[in-house]
Amino acid sequence: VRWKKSFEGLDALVAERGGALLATATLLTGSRAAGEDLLQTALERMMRRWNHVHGDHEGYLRRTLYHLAVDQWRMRRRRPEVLTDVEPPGQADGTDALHLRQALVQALAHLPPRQRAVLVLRYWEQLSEAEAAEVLGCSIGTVKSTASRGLARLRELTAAWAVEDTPAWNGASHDH
Amino acid sequence: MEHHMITDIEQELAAGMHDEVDGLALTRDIVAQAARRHRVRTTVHRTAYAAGVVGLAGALAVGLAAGNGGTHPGVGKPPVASAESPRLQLAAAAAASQNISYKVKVTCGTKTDPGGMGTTQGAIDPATDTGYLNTTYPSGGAVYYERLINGVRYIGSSGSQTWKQEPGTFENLGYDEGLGVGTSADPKQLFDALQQADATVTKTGARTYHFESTKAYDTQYATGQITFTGDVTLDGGNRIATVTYESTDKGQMKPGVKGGAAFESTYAATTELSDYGLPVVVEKPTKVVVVR
Repeated sequence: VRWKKSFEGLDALVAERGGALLATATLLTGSRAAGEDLLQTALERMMRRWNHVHGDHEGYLRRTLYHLAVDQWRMRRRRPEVLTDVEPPGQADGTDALHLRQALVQALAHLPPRQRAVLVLRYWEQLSEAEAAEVLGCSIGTVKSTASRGLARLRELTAAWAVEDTPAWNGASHDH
Repeated sequence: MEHHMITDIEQELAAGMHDEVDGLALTRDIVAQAARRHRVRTTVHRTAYAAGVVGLAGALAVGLAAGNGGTHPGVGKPPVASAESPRLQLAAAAAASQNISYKVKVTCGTKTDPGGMGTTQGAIDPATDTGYLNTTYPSGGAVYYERLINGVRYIGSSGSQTWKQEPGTFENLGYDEGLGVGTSADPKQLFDALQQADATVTKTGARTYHFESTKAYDTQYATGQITFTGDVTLDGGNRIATVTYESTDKGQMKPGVKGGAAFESTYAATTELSDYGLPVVVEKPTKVVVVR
């Protein structure tokens, strides 16, 4: 096929790194379907700029994912879908930690795109504040304050869910 | 439990992210899909037309057998206004619309995909490489902004707090970036195409013209024909005021190419131009990130 010649190496890159890129895109968008859409949009963007992108195609794709996610580029119509995915964490039994993890990832989808992007860069990609600032094209101070606001919001959301969850759990126990 | 939740939140978030996306694999061929959409964008015609970029100029400038009287203006030669020839009148109007500032509004897209119709509005002064475009993106939601100031191009969108400055310098706005429909959204290309038009042109009123062309093609991938029809209105100064056109590509893939499938797609565009010769002033965005 003609385009394979035009975009040489792209198939191999996606075969090898597609899963990792999709993971990032999924965390950035809050759902796997939206993640695939985001990654496809980033690929299209790279194709348009193919002659200007030299060397590090994966790096370009990754940066584009973050920029698109922060810009909410095409992501708006996906948001309601994301919100319906969110459920409060489960009961306070022996699986607290597991539930907390799930709740945190679900709460992530509630954050403004920039906060979400910073948290994904810091805690998924494990980048330093300086590296995250470089990817997003902002200052280290902005990364710090955005991450701190994002974490605070996650605490609020998961704590609120824990509170909301309690009466329901008590109510359930009355049925016995 | 509350205490635990607060102290370990960063660690738990990292672990939760891993749980969430561990072992995720792509379920569809997004490279092929991206390539396909990219191709639709950049070539207007969605088929594997071997000439690559067909665009407006190609479709209009084809050598036409039918109904043309045989006299061609010749590509590259300056057009001469002539009372006898609607085609030359149109070429003269297109030439008069070149190299001067104007306001523009373009609505275009593929007719078979109504969700893909986008609109862009802006202005450009070719003398100073300065202008702007605001584009309503076909898939809805965000507005895409572009500013060109003395050749430096800035890109923004309604969801973004910052603008991106693109590397290098530019003589024109990125109509393709904005509308994602191909080069023919650019009035510059439109003027060139109209100027070089080898289509059948008829005068339909004091300041209105109709053009038509058909070109058959037979390539390695497909056979078919491109039909191109449109109408042009001139303003009081005999410059282009509106151009509406449709381009239909109908054909059949060769055996072995996508199962020899038949295809037909129609691309439609309306371009409105105004305020010729007026100054174009564009303000530099405040928060700018330089793209490397």
